[in-house]
Amino acid sequence: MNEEDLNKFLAQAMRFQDGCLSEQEMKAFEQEMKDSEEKRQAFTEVMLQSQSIYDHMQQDIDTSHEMKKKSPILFSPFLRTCATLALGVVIGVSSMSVANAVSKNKALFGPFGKLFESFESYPAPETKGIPEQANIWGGDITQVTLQDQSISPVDGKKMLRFLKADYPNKPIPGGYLSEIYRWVDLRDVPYNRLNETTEINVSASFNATTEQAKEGLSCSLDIYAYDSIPPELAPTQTVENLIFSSFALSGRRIQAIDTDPKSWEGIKVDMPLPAKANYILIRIAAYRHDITKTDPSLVFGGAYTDDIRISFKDHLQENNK
Amino acid sequence: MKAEELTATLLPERRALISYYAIVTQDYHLAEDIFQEVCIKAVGSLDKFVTPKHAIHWAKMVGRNRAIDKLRARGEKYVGLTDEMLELLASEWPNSQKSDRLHKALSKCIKKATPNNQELLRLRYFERLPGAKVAESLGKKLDTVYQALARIHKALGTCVKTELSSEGLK
Repeated sequence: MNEEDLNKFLAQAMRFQDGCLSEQEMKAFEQEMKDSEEKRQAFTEVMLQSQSIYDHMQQDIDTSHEMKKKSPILFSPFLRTCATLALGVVIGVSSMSVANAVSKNKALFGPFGKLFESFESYPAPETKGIPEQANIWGGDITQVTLQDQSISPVDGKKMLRFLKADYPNKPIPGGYLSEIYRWVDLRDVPYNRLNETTEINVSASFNATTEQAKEGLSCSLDIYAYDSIPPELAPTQTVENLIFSSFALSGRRIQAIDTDPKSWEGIKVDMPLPAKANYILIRIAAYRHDITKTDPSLVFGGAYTDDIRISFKDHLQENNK
Repeated sequence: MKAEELTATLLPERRALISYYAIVTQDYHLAEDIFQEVCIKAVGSLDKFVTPKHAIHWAKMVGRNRAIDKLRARGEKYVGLTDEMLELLASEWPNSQKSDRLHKALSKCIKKATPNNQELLRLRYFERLPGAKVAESLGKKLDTVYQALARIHKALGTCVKTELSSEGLK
């Protein structure tokens, strides 16, 4: 294969990764690989390199946080999977949802069993770290706000602004990681609960001012399944403890929020629900990339979350549609 | 197979398996989700596995099928490689040993890339933007971005080979 041929083939592999090849182009692309072991090898290398580059860059960020703070931040999919495997997750699935907004148990759950939080009638989360009971928010200092700076709520008139990262005895101090938590009691779900095919879906929206985004801001949404609220763990908890004390977990991160204050970015997390899970702990976090500023009293310039939703779906029904 | 053995078998294969699933999904996020699902399913199927090789083969097949199911469940028509090609690639796919060696060498090679090329890689693979979005953020044409990425991959491939041969590895 000459240089030009290889360049063309690799450019086509890039289009393949984007799902941009037409049926005809796909056939031709496959035929090229069928005819040439060298091309199959080049394709394999590109696919592997692509994941490897992501891992390399992810590792750089996690390592730099760890080195600066001397405290582990374990968000990577690799570690999540480690924990999943190590804990031996048992699975369940079906379809339904948890509850609506504000405060006490059963009233939280709407008729369709969906939870929806856009901070319209909710005070700012308690600032004591992880709450010790279900259905209230807790965590760092945050503020329920109307339109603020250049940001408008994604839904309703209010949203939540991350202000500081310093709840008492926070295991990862340093003022760069602001987070909120909420326990959801799954026993309140007004359905014939969770058969073997229930999957929980949690989503949240994030936004930041242009200045905050330029400084660098990641956002994450993680969920952890428990049979009960572990009293020995709340309220100050490292992510590592959450990983190893939960039955199952799932999470995602936006590596770098965009600089457009008009666009909200969403994270959606799915998890097959373990049969014995009675509680889900939701963790929503924003962390500044500039970890050279380590003053715990530092106020985040403009990081927001809104429109948090929980629902359940039937995995099997979904697949059979 | 015991859970510990399964963990020791599947975790090192993570990178190789995700990139294999990505051939079907054409989406690394989704491929990562599938890897997690496969791991969960594997833990529930311990008695199925006799040898590590068997578990890895099972993970490839189950993940591949799950990926196709997921795309169909989204109502998307699967425009991708045929089963025959997926099978052929699976049989030739690098194992964890090889993918780890490649990863270590690649990490050194990325550091040697120019700042512009590193930025391009960051947008494409760290932020996982499609070519069109990368082109938009850099103010370049889409074809230019694809060609630039192709050149970077080729250069990285050459660099990796040099690194490996300097260590006496292929």
